[in-house]
Amino acid sequence: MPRKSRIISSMLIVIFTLIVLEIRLYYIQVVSHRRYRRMADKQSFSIGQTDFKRGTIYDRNGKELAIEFEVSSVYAIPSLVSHRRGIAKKLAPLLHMSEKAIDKKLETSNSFVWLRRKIDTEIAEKIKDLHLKGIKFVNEGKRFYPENELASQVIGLAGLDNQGLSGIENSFDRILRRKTKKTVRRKDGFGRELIAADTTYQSEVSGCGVVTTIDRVIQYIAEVELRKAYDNTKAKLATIIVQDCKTGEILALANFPSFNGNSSSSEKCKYLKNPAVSSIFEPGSTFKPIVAAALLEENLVTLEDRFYCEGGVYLFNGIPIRDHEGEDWLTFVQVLEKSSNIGMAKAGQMLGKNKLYQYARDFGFGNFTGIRLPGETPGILKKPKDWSEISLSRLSFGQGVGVTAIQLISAFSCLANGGVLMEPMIVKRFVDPGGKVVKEFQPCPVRRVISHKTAKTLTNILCGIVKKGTGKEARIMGYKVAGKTGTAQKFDPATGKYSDTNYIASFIGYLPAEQPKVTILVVLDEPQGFYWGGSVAAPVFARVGVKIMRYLGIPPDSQEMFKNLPPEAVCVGSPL
Amino acid sequence: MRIEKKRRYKKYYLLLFIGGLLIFLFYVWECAEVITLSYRLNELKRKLISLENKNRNLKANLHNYTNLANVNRIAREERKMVFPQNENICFLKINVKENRASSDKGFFIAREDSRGASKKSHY
Repeated sequence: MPRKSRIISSMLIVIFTLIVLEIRLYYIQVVSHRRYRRMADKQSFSIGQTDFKRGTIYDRNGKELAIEFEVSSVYAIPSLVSHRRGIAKKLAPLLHMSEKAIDKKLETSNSFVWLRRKIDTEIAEKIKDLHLKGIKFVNEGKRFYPENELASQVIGLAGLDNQGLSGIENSFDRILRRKTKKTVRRKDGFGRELIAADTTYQSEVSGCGVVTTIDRVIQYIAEVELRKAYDNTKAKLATIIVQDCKTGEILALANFPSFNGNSSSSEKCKYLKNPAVSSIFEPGSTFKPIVAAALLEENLVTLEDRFYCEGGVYLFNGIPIRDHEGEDWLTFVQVLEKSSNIGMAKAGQMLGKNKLYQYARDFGFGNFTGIRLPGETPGILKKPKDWSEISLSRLSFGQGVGVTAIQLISAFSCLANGGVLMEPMIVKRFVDPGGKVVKEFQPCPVRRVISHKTAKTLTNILCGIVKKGTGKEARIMGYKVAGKTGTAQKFDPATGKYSDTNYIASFIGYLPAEQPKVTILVVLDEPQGFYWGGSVAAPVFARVGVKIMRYLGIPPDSQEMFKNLPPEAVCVGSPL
Repeated sequence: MRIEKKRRYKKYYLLLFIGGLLIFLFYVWECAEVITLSYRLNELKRKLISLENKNRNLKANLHNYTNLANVNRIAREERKMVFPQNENICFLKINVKENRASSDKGFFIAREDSRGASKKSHY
């Protein structure tokens, strides 16, 4: 072949090859570029979920009650694990799991398996140092309750996946919940993140914080005293609520037994329910002031009206009503001071079914209070058409009606607040992560139930109950206390009768009586030994009350306190 | 004359080529530098997250020490403090108007120590 022909044929081959390559390139880069771009993106982009922190729960003074911090969770990719038993042996002591359990998890055919979630950072670091193949880590948020048991049933509990399970954690889950957003990042061949124009970035946004109305100091005072009472009386359940009677804000709410949100024990699941809003009990004598308020408001009785108390036993429709002290004639005030069931049953008759029902409803019984805690029940208050012949008399001294602790304290706060019923508040405001207020809740008056005058009259009667009646144990030196004791027999479903051995002892009151600041309710379910509200619940009220007064800086309203001032005492301003 | 002109053009082309090459090299260097910086940035981000986590853990530890139950325990058991009884406390009403700045709660508690000197503390 001549030289010229060889050159031409070689050139033709090269040109042909180039044309083929060009066609191929055109096919890859133009015709099917989408497909190949997808494949490339799949390799170099990672789509990850960016989790943001769950909002903090604060007390009314901005102290953290529930916070979140990041911890590591360990997972395995079983297909990458080569020496299963060896790895299980190394991990078992660090993860506090048995070798067998880890081995069983690694045995799975799944592509991913959790080994242990939310472990301590130190343990995670130790495991990382082992450089185990197929064992990986991911950061997750973990809820931490700085005050441990404090207000646990109010704050509630967040689950393993940071979902609210109970309390505020549950009812405000949507506010608190961390926002999860997908982020796209470009990575190199070694998996290192690259900053590229097509990487999606976003500013961090956590869930909102919830500022509660709880005051952690008052909560602590209440819980310490409640715990003591629970231990001393060996009660089945103890509840205490402290409420600001002007605004309806709950300053403290505690039940015992309770749980520690930081504990890993499964025991805590037993106590997730908050009995203060979800358990119903018969109020007994603490319901009498409600009936008395209705009677006074309707001008059906005067304070001097006298009632014959039958010497302590009264057969009403063949069923006996008993007083704990046998009395003959008592004035209306004495009926309340001595907590006479017979006297109240007779007074209740003057009110009538419909009026009593209406007032009970107006005080908030038989209805939801509106407190934003999960599991609230409306209690039991039957309509008058469903009442039996004895219902009116029984209801007059607190039998045949089922109330929750939150309803009872709201009704008493209404008396303290001059007759205006306030909606109980548990949350003051929502704040964003920067502390800016997102939403503010204002005290909400529900309705005026009784006149200011009636409320004042009733306060004076309640003061008499504490001063010389059944509630003497609730007296606090220097402060005028208005309150009422309650000792309710529990209904025994087995016998269909009221039990002679199981009682609910309670005391509810407010102080200082002249300018009430706080209402306190103490309920002890089935106390052993002494079971009278006046002897087991009233002292708890007094101990809590005095500490709260000192903490809130409310001066004593009695002149007695200033009689014996030492001469050395420094007087600032104008001494009294 | 023509040869002279051709040489001059050749020089221009060479300078243009060298200039283009430098710009290309600068572009490549810049890209490499961006990638290196992004690696460093990511490393720093990881460190920041780790430090933030440590900070949160320390805060959690701090909370363990400052929670009310612990403070109460230390006060009672280690410092042997007791809750004051009524007879230990003197309540002194103050003129709120004159002392508005010092207290809006309206009273002080004066406590006597064992030597009879009076100490006052705002409550």
